[in-house]
Amino acid sequence: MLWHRGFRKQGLRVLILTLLGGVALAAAPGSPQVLPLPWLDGPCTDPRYPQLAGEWAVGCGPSGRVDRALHLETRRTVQLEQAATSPAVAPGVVYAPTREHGLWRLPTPEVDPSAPLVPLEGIAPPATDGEVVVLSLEAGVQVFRLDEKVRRTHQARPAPWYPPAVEGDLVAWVDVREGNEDVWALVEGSPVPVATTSLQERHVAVSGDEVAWIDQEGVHGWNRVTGETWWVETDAHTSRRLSLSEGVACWEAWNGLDVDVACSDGSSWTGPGHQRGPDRQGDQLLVVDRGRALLLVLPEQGLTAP
Amino acid sequence: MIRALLGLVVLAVGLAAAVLQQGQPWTWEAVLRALQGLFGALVMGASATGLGAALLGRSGREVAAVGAFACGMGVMGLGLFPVAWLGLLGPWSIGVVVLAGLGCWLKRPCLRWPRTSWVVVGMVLVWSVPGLLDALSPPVDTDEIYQHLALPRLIWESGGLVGGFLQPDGSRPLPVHLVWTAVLGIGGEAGPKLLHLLWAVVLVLFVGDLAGRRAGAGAGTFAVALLLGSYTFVRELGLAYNNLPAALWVVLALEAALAVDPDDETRGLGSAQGRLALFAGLALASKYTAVSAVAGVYVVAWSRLGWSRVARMAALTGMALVWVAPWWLRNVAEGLHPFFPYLGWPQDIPLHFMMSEKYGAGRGPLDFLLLPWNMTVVAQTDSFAFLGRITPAALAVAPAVLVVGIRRRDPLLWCAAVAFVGWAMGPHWLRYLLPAAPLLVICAADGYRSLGSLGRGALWLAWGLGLPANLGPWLVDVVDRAPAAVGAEARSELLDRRVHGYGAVRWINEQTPEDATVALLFAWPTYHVERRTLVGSVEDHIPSRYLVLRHGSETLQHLQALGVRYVLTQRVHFLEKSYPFLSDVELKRGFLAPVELLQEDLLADGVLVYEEGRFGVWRIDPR
Repeated sequence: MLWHRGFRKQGLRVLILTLLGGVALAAAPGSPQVLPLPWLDGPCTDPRYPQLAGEWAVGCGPSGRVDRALHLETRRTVQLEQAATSPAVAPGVVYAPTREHGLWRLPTPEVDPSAPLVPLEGIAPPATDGEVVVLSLEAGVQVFRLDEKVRRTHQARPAPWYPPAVEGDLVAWVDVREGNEDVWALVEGSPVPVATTSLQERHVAVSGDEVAWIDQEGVHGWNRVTGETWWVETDAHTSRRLSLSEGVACWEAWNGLDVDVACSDGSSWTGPGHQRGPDRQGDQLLVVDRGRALLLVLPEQGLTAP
Repeated sequence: MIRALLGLVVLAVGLAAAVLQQGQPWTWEAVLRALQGLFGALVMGASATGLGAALLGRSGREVAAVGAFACGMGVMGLGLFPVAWLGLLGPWSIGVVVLAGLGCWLKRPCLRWPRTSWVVVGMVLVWSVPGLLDALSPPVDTDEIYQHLALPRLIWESGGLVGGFLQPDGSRPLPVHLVWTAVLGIGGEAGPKLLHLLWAVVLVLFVGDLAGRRAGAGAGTFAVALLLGSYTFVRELGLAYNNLPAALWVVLALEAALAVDPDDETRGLGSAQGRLALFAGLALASKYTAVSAVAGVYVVAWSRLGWSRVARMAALTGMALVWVAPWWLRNVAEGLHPFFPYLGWPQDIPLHFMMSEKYGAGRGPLDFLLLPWNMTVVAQTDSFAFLGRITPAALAVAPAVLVVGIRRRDPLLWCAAVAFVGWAMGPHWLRYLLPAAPLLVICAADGYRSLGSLGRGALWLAWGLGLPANLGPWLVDVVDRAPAAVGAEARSELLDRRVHGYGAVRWINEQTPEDATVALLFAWPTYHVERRTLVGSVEDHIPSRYLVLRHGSETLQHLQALGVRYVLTQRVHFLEKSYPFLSDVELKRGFLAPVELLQEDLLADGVLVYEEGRFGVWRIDPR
């Protein structure tokens, strides 16, 4: 297990301690702290989980549904009732907006009876930032606040399976109106194309003013305020989602033999077998390493996009 | 006259009021789908009966309606074979065949209908209600969606036959599936299932008739009750399988064998010997697992002809094989073993089609001795051991059957014994016993007749006590699907709930170009994929394993060369406990390695575009 960012020598130590498992690695200077999360090792029906939810991480039990949450600091566990397969996840919030499920405000295991519900779950998992929700429907993207009853539908042709992304008033989604996968976003309330090349742009994520996505050539970013773009050349074709946090994107990188985790700040998590499903949140990175959920607490903060 | 008219008015008003009444659960879409399917099934049934009556009958002489129906179906299945082989199967060719059959009614055939008791008719009507709901619900049964309805849909859409190493099911004899193809074209999705239900009803009525003629009306009713009281039989009522069609042909062959007269020099299709060869051949072509039942029937015929008539029996065997041989010739012409897919897999690849050791409750001498008990008492509907259940009354009547059969030296007992032993030599799945089931229950009817009122009462008691275990699982399943059958539940909701990997199928149907070719690797639901498909799964996922074992790390390139752009695949977990008879090396080389290699190849060269649990859709981009 190697943490590439100038700290390779610590790799073997991390590997041994990780394999021994269960106990958090006492962080040597510059090395990530590795915290196994065995309670979240259960394979999810939707393999884009487990995910981070602020101070929590959510994952699956034997049902394959996202039915459990783990507080990352206190290790408190919560078993969610009426669990869903592909809920939206935001800090302290898990949300599946149909009647069979609902809104969980962690650590409460029951759904919040006051949360809005919709008749159709949509064609892809929903997205939320904890306040605003976005649903992908056949004929558009629907946006609404959790504390309002008004739902606005914007004409679009969102791709199924790929969840939209939202943070504040920045909403983005994968759109297939042109026949292939493009990235569109809501700018001042209107859908505008962000990336519409002949490549397949998919796995959209947003953070702050940035939109990021994956295509056949690598991982791309666009800042809606400055108009700046960035691009990391990488083979991310195995990715099941893209993580974007504080300007740093993380994805699955195919190295020719297996899958590793890479981030746009140059850091990576590699090792024998597959390292998959990265979810970055500030200095925390959740990965599934050969089927085991690990939380990596990164050695420093303030990582920036190249 | 006025009373008759009044009766028609009452019927019309009653039906209209009942159908249109507010609060009824069905939708017009479901009603129209049912009517289309019913129309298709009835037109095919009428056409086959007309054709069969013309082939079996002589002018002015009575023809058994059941025999005419079964003969017509078989001849249609064989007649459509060259059409499909030439790639000409379509609305026109099917229309010509169906109209030709219907045209035979112009000869005004004199049909003899099966005679059976009102109790049997009542039972058939009652059992037909869940059977009908079963038939009208969207297909979710694994065997239907990978084979029995998938093949007809592929044949219907391409106009020709499929087969070979990548679609081995298409290289079996397919007379029944070609009939399903025709009725699929006429009656839509519900057509084959409703025709199968009709076929099953005909079988039940005929069994009641034949058993009743041999042992009396009560025994006939008991024979029917044995069938309708067994889970393995009733679960297939509304499914478009080929076991019950084979069973009808077997019992008709038996009736012909019982009518064989050594002094009768009559020849031709309608003669006893002609019908024996015809129906025996059709049964064999429908399902190879009918071979032991057919052999048993031939024992009966031989005993009636006289054991010295070897040449005549050889001729009758040859005549029967005429109905199967075209399918063998097709395989040979396509470079395959005549008995492919059962035989003829490449020697250098570790594949074995159907491993009997995987099934049943053991194969030691004691296991065989206990087999009747285990198959009745221990069998579970969802276990690989027997994958079914039969009524306990069948086991209860066995001693009486043996006593009366041996005392009478009844050749039918030997017939049933041959059929049963043949089944016991195979994989022990109870559904494979279905082709022989009519023989066994007719034997049982003889045993029933020999009993007094205490014995008969005990049999009915055992039958009644067995109903919850036998009908329960079937009814629970039908009730689950009934809302979708009447349109109260959306088709996609049912498929989401019941078909593994349907999310991936729906993604393909909605998101891929209409001309895309999709390979299904280690995945069953071929029928629901609305695109050109290749491979698909059969026993132990043989086609996918063959593909990967043959092409190794170049599997995806090979698929690309075949025009495949998308791969729907499942991460299968072959469990060691399911193959205890294989060594670790055999299991790894033949089963685990292909799955692993494919997943690694897809990860390396495919683009994951959808994933749900173990199922994923990968796009293979040109490199």
